[in-house]
Amino acid sequence: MGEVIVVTSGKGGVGKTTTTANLGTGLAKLNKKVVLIDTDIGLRNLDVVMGLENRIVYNLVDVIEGNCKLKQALIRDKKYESLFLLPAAQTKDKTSVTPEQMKKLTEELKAEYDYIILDCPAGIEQGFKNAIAGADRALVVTTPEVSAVRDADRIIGLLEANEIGKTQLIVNRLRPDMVKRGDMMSADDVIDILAVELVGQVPDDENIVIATNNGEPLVGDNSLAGQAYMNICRRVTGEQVPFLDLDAKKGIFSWFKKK
Amino acid sequence: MNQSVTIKGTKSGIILVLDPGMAFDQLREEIKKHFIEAASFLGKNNMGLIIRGRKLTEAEEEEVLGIIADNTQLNITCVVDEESETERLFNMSRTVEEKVVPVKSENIDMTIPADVCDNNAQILVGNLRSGQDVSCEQNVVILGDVKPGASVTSYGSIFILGELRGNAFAGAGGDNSAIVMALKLNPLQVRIADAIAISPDAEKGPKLKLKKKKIMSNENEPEVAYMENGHIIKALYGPSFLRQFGK
Repeated sequence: MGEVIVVTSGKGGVGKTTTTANLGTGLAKLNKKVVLIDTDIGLRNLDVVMGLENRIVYNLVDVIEGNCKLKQALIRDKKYESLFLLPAAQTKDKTSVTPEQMKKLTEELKAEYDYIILDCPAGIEQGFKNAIAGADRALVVTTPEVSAVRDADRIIGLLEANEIGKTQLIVNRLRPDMVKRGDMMSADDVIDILAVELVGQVPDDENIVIATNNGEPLVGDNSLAGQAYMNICRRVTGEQVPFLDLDAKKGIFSWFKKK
Repeated sequence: MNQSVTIKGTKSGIILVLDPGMAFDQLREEIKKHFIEAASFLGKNNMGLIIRGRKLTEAEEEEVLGIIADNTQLNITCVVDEESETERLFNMSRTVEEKVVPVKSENIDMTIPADVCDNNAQILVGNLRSGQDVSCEQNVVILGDVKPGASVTSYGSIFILGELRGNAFAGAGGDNSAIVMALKLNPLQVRIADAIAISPDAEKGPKLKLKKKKIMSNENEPEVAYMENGHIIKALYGPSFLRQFGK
């Protein structure tokens, strides 16, 4: 029986889609059967980040409305056999799906896949309600900025109100040098404010931008962000993995830069 | 048309073309037969119904709706009176200043003239952006680009005087001879009738940039996608294509 995980944040632009793509790819690397669902109807992105945009024929709304079978709409990843994407519709809006329908869909997928990962749209309206409807567990993504942390706090409140079993936090775009100078909150500071379990901290890394533009998630490669995402994947599966020392690696990088 | 009853499906509705000469009792049996055959194909959707070729009285219309309800899983949400609808749209277009807004699919479906894909074309001015979806039964000419995430669907051919980077679906009614032409043809997907072609996956990083430049330098000619032996072929729109296409 699979697990439904929703990746959410409240605020836009903090890295939900990137996290979803990397989490899905990472779990597939760990030989899990994974489906990614883009619930951001009308502003879909996940297919672009995954590099699967050209393969879309049917989408989430087609499945919900019964225009096609679920199997027809699932797009297999280029690299990983066990990774699938269910893209959002671009020409509809968020009200074309109801939370009940999403719940039914995720229940159906649960039977066959280990992880169903939902990429939630920004905001707390219908799209958010759809995304969390069938979720067993939530990953809240935030950046160490007051605005993102504020929104994350609201989201965590809403998740609790909707009785989502387990809520964990990913702090994205950390810059160890700024944290050191005292100009940025550290992951611990964020945890102090939000009081939820930390499942990962991801450094600000330009490789993310490159990987996103190439349509190939970087999880598991040598970059710091790639390793951080891989660790998150392993923690999601229940493994105990120590947190990366972002600062130490940074030291090596800056040494390279100096040279 | 030699058949007394024809059912055509479009994106937003079904068109029922009826023989004007036949007696209605006879026609009713034909309609029933056709819908039973088409039931599985039509599925269970909410659809509009357009009746052509014959003016039905209200009672007759009721009967047709009854037949559809009994024999298919379709849910007919409205019966479109084409004549008044066309007139309304026409009047609207006269009063409203011409705007560069792509026409929404529903509107186009209703303004179509009687014959599917005659030599007329719908002309759209302006770029089609992500999320915009144009579909119509005529040929389409687009004066502008079709961006990724936008799509154009036509029963006939599609001519884009700009760059195609989104999706294009020509010959949506099954016409194999439909073509997709664009000044630059870099689509995500091109579909013609039953065939579908997807763009090759982008290569990594710096290579992509180099490649793009190369392509740009030797491809200032318009391009065209057409169907041959069930496959979609992309070619330069030049004399060699025209010779072949003329046959």
